[in-house]
Amino acid sequence: MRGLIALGIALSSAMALAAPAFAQQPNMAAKPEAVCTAEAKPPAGFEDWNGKAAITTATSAEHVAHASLALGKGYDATLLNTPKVAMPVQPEKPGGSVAHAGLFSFTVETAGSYTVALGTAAWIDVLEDGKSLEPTKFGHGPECTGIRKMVVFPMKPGVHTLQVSANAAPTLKLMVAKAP
Amino acid sequence: MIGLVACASSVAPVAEPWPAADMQAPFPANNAPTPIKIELGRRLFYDGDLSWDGTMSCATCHEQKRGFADPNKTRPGFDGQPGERNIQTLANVAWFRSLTWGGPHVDTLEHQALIPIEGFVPVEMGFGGKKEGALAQRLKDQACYPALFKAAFPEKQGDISLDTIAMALSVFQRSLVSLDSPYDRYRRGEALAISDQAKRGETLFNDKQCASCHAGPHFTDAALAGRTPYETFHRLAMPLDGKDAGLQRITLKAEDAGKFRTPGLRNVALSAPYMHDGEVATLPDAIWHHYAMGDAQADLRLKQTVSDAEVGDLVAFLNALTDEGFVRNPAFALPPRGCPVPEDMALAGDEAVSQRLHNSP
Repeated sequence: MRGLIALGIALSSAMALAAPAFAQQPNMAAKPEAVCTAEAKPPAGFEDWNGKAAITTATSAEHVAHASLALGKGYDATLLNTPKVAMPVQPEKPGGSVAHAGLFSFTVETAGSYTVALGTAAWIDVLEDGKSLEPTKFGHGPECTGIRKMVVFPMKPGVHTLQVSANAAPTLKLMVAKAP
Repeated sequence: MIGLVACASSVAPVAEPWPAADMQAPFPANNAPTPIKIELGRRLFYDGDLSWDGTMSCATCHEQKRGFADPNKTRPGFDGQPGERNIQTLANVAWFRSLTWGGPHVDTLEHQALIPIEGFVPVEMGFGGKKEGALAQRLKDQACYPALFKAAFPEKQGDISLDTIAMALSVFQRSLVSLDSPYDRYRRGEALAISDQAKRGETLFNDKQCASCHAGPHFTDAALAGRTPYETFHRLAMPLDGKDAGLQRITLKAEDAGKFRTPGLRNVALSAPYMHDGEVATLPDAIWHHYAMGDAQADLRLKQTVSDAEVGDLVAFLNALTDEGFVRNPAFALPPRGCPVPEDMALAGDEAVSQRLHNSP
C-alpha cells in the first residue's frame, strides 16, 4: 500500500492508480486529505465535474432508464436509503439501512475505458450484461478537485447500470466520463 | 510477523499432532454456538448498520479475500478520522487469549467486538457517545433481526442489546477456522503439499527463531496454552518511533514501550501491509524488518543474519500458510440478501418465528 500512496502523490494531476488485483476500497484514504486553499481544475474529460445537473436514483432495474446519466456531465444526485433501492446485483459493500444508495444508467457508444467519479468514497458497481465489471484502476481523485474517488472500468458499447452503495449522505456528486 | 524479545516458547514444532482441518474451535460456556447464532453473527458482521452512518461494517475492514484483513496501512473511521493500527486477520481467533495489538486486557471476543463499534481511540464505527441503545433500536426496527435474535437467544427472550450483538459477532468470528493450508496438509502427512523451498523456509522459520513468538499451529504465542495475555507482547529490535508506545499505553510501564502482541500468520500472504502500523508493504520487507539493527537492548536472536535466499525461502513457507478454502468459504462470506430460513428454526420450536422468517422480504 505504501507504493500506491507514493504513486498517488506522484500523479498529482491525475488519479492515483491501484493494481487491479486490489478491488476498490470505500475508504482508500490511507493518506490524509490535502488542505486546499483553492479549488483545483478537474482532470481532462471531467471539466463539468462541478456541474449541478439534478438526477434522482431509480428504485429498481425496471425504472433505471429514467435515471440516465449523460457522459461527461456533472450531477448532484439524490439517493435513497439502502432498502428503498432494489439493486440488480448485490454489492460487495451494500451499506446499512441508514446509508444511501443509487441506481443509474448510462450508455457507452464505443468500447473503451470509462471512469466513474464520486465526491465520496461510496462503493461502485458497474453492470454490463447483468454482471458487475472488475475495475482496472481505482484511486483518489486529484487533490482539491472535490473528486474523492475515481474507478475505471473497461466497457463494451451498450447501456450500463451504475450501482452506488454505502453512501453516508442522501446526495452525491457524480460523473461518468471517458477515462482521462 | 512481529517481535522476538523474550519469547520463551519452544522453537521446535509443537509435539502434539497437527490439528485436523475440521478441528472444532473452543467456545465459552456462556456463549455456545448454534447455527442460527452463527448466522446472526455473520449478518451483523457484514451489516453497515453497525456504524453510525451505515457506511461501515466489520467486513469493511476485515475482508475475507484478504484473510479478514485490510489492504490499507490503517483504516479511517466512518467519518474519515484516521485509524491508528493495521487491521488484523481473524483466522482462528477463537484460540487467541489476547486480541488486540496493544491491550492484554482485551481477552474475549465479546469484549473486543464493542471496541470498534463504540470506541473513541480511534473512532471507527461511530456509536460512541451516541444515544444509549441507538444501535439496538436500529436493529429492532428492522423486519428480520427481531426474529433472528429470538431464535438465536431464546434464553434471553430475543433481547437485542449490545451484549447479544457482541455475543453473536463473537460466535461468528470463532467459526472462522483456517486449518487447511498446504502447510497444514504437509504437517498432516502430504509430503508434496508444499514445495522444497517452503520446506527449507520451515526449517529456517524454526532455526531463526521466528517460531519463538509465532508459535504453534496458529503461529502466535497469543494462542498458546499456559500463556498470560501479557506474555504475548514483544518488542522488535527497532528504535521506538515515538508514535505508538503499544503495551505501555495500557500498563504505563517503561519496559513495555514498543511492545505489541504477536499476530498470527495464517493467510499472511493475503494480509499486506504488515506490522502494527502497516508501514511494511511486503513479506520480504516484513522479514527484514525483524532484523533491523539500531537497538542495543535487542534480543540477540534478532542480531543474527539472514540472506536474500533465506528470505526467499521464508516467504515460500509463509505463502504455504494461505488457506484458499478459508478465504473462499461461502459460509464466511457476505450473506445473500433477504432474511435467512435457518435449518434449525424448527428446533427453535417457534412456528411464529419460522413463519416470519419465511415471509420477510
